[in-house]
Amino acid sequence: MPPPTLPALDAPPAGQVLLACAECDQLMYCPVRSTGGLPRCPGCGVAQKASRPFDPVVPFALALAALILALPANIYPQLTFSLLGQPNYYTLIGGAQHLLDSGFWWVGLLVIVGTVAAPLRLLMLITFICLGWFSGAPRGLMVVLLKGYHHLTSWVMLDVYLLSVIVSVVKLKDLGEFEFSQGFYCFVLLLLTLSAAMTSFNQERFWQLLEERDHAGD
Amino acid sequence: MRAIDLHVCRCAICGKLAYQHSSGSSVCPRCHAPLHQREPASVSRTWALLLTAMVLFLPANLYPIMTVAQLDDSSPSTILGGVISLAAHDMLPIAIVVFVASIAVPLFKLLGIAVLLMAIHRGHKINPRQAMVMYRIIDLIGRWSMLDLFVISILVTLVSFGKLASIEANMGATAFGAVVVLTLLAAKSFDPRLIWDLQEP
Repeated sequence: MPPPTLPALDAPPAGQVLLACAECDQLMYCPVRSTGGLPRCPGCGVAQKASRPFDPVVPFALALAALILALPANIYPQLTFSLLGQPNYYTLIGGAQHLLDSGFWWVGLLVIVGTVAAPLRLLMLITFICLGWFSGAPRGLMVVLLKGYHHLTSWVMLDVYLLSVIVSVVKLKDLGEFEFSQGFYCFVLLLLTLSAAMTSFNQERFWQLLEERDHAGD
Repeated sequence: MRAIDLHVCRCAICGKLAYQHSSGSSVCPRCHAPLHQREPASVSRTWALLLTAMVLFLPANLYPIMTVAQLDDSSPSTILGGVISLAAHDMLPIAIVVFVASIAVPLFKLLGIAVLLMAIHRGHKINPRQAMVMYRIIDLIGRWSMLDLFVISILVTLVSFGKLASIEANMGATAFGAVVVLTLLAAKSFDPRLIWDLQEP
């Protein structure tokens, strides 16, 4: 059975594409590449992110940079707290490990997913998706990777972690000596590059690009 | 013109538009995910997740989330207790941040999703624009409740000096983590297009 297509609707004007709003189901034409601000849904007013200008090279470069920064950010201690000259160090994995060891495996698991596993996985997915795009990887693989990206985005919580560091600093500053270590500066850079990579990675547009290339190859 | 009026499905994963065949289930021609006009069982699944979160919200707030022990003195503190002690120590801005992230946001999510679900159940024609603003806020702020769990993880690791001073996690943290995850999943499983379906005559 051939896949269902959309013959009855008017063909969109050149440079535009037919979309349905994810939030209110409104059908609309949107420019493929909008340089002056994002088009908005006429029904509910949500911005249509698929029209962001997109070039896979940009998120690829940013994700590679973030992956490199992720090494020192995870290996080096980020925070040091000392009481009477005796220091304790905080690394992302060490903190989760501490919770797991004291029996709070559920909280530890959430911490490790939000601050280590999800960000790293997301960066690898962006890298592999872009590499796959440049090297013409098989379509089935690209579909699996893009679906993985789609499900993962809301579990990356590095920005929340940054705020929790600030809260912890305020809570601890009267108790002993608190210091930021080199790992923390790498972490801030990691957060910036990761956010930039996620913003520049336009997954809606990527699906369209994949389909266009398939049609060109037929 | 809405997609459902033309029997057109928007793929939930990749956004592809495709005609829905009247009989049987169909899959997206682009990403092979199952196609549905609306998320199947969206309302009942959201209710289930939401009610579980509401039940767990009680132990999350009533049980202590961490215990601060210094020499012979050990004091367990709940989420609200932590906020109050921050405010009492002249750290009002941080107290407000923690209050918003740990108490106001989860409560707003629980009540907000319940209001949306009730409206769909009763078929009330609520103002869709106001409802969408609420839905978007719920979707946007949900992750920030993880704040307190990360703070616990940092404090527990940094303040472990044996008898001298130590901070330990408590049962409340586990319940609170479950509340955060359940409300996140509830917001995800809610299909906002159902609000707009109410507006149809």
